[in-house]
Amino acid sequence: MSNSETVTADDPGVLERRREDLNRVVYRFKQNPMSILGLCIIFGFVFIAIFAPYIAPYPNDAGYQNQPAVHFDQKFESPSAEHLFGTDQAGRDIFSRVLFGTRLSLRIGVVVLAAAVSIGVPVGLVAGYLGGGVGMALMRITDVFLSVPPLVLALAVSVALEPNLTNVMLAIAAVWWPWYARLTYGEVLSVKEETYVEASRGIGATSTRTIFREILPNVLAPITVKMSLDMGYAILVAASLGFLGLGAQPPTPEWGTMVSQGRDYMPAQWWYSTFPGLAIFLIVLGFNFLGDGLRDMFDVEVQ
Amino acid sequence: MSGDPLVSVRNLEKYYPVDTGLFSRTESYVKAVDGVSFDIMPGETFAVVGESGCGKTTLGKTVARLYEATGGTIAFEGQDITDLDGKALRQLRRDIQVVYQDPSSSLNPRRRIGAIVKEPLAVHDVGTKAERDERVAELLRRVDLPVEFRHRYPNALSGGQKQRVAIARALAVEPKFVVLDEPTSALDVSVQAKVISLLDDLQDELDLTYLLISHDLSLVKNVADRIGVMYLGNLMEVTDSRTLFENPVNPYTEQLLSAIPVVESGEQSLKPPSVEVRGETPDPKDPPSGCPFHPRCHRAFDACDAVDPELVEVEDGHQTRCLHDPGPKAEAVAEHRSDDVTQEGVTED
Amino acid sequence: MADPILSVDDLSVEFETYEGRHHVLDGVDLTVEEGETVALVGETGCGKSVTAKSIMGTLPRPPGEITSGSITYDGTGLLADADAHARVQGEEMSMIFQDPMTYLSPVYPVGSMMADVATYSGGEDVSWLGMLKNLLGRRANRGEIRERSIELLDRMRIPDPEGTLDRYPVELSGGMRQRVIVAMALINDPTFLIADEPTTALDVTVQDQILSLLRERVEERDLSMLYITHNLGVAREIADRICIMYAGEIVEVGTTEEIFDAPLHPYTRGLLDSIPKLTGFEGDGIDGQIPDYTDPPTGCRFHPRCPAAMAGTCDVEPVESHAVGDDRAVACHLYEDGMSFGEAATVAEEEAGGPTDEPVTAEAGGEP
Repeated sequence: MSNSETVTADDPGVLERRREDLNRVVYRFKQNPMSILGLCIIFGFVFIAIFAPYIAPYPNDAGYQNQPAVHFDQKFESPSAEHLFGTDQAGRDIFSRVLFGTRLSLRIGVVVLAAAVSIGVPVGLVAGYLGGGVGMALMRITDVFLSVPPLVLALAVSVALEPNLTNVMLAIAAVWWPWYARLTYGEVLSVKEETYVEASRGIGATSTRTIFREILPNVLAPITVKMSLDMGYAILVAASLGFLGLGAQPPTPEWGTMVSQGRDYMPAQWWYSTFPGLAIFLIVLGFNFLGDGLRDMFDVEVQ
Repeated sequence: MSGDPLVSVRNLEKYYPVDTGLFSRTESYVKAVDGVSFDIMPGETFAVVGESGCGKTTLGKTVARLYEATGGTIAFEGQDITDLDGKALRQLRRDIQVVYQDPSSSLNPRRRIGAIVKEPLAVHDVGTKAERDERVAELLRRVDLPVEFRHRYPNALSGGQKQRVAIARALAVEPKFVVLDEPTSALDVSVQAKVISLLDDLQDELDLTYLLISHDLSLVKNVADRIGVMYLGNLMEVTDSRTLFENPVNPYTEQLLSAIPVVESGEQSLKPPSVEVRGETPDPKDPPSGCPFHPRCHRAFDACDAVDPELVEVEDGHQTRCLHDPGPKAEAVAEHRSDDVTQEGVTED
Repeated sequence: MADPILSVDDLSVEFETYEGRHHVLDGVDLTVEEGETVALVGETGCGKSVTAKSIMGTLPRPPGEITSGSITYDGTGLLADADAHARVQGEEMSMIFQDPMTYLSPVYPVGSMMADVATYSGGEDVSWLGMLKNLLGRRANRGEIRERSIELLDRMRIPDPEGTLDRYPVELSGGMRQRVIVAMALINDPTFLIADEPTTALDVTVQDQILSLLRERVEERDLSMLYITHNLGVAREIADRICIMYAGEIVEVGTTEEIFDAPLHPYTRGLLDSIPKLTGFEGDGIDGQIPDYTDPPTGCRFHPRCPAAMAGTCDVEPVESHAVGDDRAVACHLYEDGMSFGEAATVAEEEAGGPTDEPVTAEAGGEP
């Protein structure tokens, strides 16, 4: 549109200012070196997830392109140049399987959080903004979910349904959304008191408009921080369920499942459980560091 | 003054329920606004002054229909707007706008200035997108801000600039009536003067009517046509700004005027004779009996803690709420005087 | 004249932040004579609180850094000697704050806090055992402290002083809290008071009462006081002398009457004009805003906003303080060479006729 062109023309500094905003964000982020480390770890995993087929020396060992391969002649080889992390009982390259496991873990994290956020945040927004009876009812339902230990609830859900990857994600999302509802609710309660929310009403805006234009953008920061912290935990819970045999089923290259299977061969074939375990450890650590950094950056409190 | 008032408020009440205790069922109220009546003529600036906690902001926001009145009526252009809701209320917002006290909190920190000023236009679906952009530019220019500020976030602006943005937003839909809730009290004096003169110019240019809420008497004297002095939810004295300073009749006004710090020697002579200022506003949950001001009043007499005065007209357009001018309460006052003959305050009038 | 009790010489303070180095104070000179009340007046962000904090030794370092200057109290250099600073701060100075609730703890009754101030300030070491005893309410000189507290509260015209000692701050009104703060500041018989906007949060009627109490106390005990405020009206009520501060510089010093009757510096004049008065209000305020401290204007820091700025002088040459008569100084190029106010006014008027009235520009950054 011509008008927006004139806008940029009369203000050539817009881009520059945006860059400055970015610099400021980077500066605050850098104040915490751990968050940089976290970010590097996450980027590393994302990179691996995307390019797993090209990095992995034996993609088919991880079931790539539905061509699962087994090499019983190579089973339980200890780590070597050929098999960095050794091989498992079917002679599959553990290094390749761990790399492919990254894809699964990240997918679990993203799907679980997307589901949890898309249920929890609207519930919290509505409950917080409307308050009164509706708010009370929504928050009591939330409290019921919160009063059940999450892993137990997730176990129950995945036992009740057939144990597979989709149901694992469903189960975890079911126990996760109440935390987002609670967090959003608390934030909305405080933002609601700000004058600009009253001003929005004074202008004649509808409640929906007020919620989405004025309140939501101001509660996003703590939600983002919580999401980055939770990514790690969601992956951890998925791995735990896998470990208990209630998550992804073998031969899916899921880290928790791999750790569980490797347990039978400890300590002689130590590499089988150790490397997937390390991967879980690293990714959880990475997301925690990142979350801490974001929290400092946004300067918010998260329960 | 002639013609019909633009805004007419009658016996307006805004009560807030308070919890008196965990198990107590007795209803108790804070009477933030307790039966207030006044008219505002078109093109006029009516100011309500008072100390913190007197209910002046609640009054302003109730009149602007941001808060629901618990009693009384508000009429705008002759039409009762007390119970408007839904679409009709949203339409009314085009005519009545509010400028808030603290611009740092009345502007959403996560939206750009352009979006903030454009919001009322978007809400009321005024014009095309290009027309709205043009209008935003025009409004920013009108409040003496560079148009390129539209790309900035409120945090990048100083207090005075933010308040200009808030004014531009209020004027976007061309309201007739603007409630100014302490529009300059969060600003430095050198900036305050600029904002005041901007508001003054805008009033002339756009034919605006203002309800100015303030605690600053010196400011109000220079800006308002008429002034209402408020104390604990009641208007204590209402008159034109000249009379209020030259001939105040209510003891509360006298104390307020005595307490203003002045900066020019000439000013002292414009203040009425100094009286002793004492006490503090009591807890509104537990207001005094009788006249709300009597515990602090230097002219209180025996009837004051028993009889609640009414706002009565002492001369044309000059109203006061004090038992020294008892009006219809004369009988009740006389009754209390006959009980006890110590009449300290009588000689003063 | 005897040496002043407090003198601040050429004090410069900088702050290190993301935006760069903020040159907040730029050679501040300030003196307070014994028994005198000096008001430090300036608008938001002018550096008046930083000055107070430097004197009290509570400037956060880092990010703050005192880059030059000295602060002398009663002959003792404070900046060079941290121990002396702590001793002076504890024994001789007291501070009154703007917001009583950030200073009063909500979980202790007033009496207990006053007793703590009486016991612990002064920097003497208190043994652990003593501290424990104090916590249990078995203070050594309990009765004496209580009596002194009651007397002070009574002098602050607090009704029922004895009962007030056992109340918690939340049970008191704003005015009462501020009275308690003043009483607390006086309990150790300080000789020097720093008051940082103590009445800003209060209503005018309450402000009026606190100011007269403060004035009474100060006169009675012959205290010296540095009173920090943004309100010229308040400064006029309380101060003997006034220092006007702008953007980290003292621009004008004079007795209260001189400042109000014949303000010299264009900033002071603009400030006075900006205040709505009962006599009328024609002031247009001052254009522009406080400069960016990372890159303060060269020459006089006020020149971009000054209606009388002289191109080629004010924006280039650093401004020095010129003495104008006894005890009167103004930091403005108009008053060089002993120019009188009348002459300066003429120059100012001529300059103001020029096209100096620039609109607010995008370059004018926000307040730091």
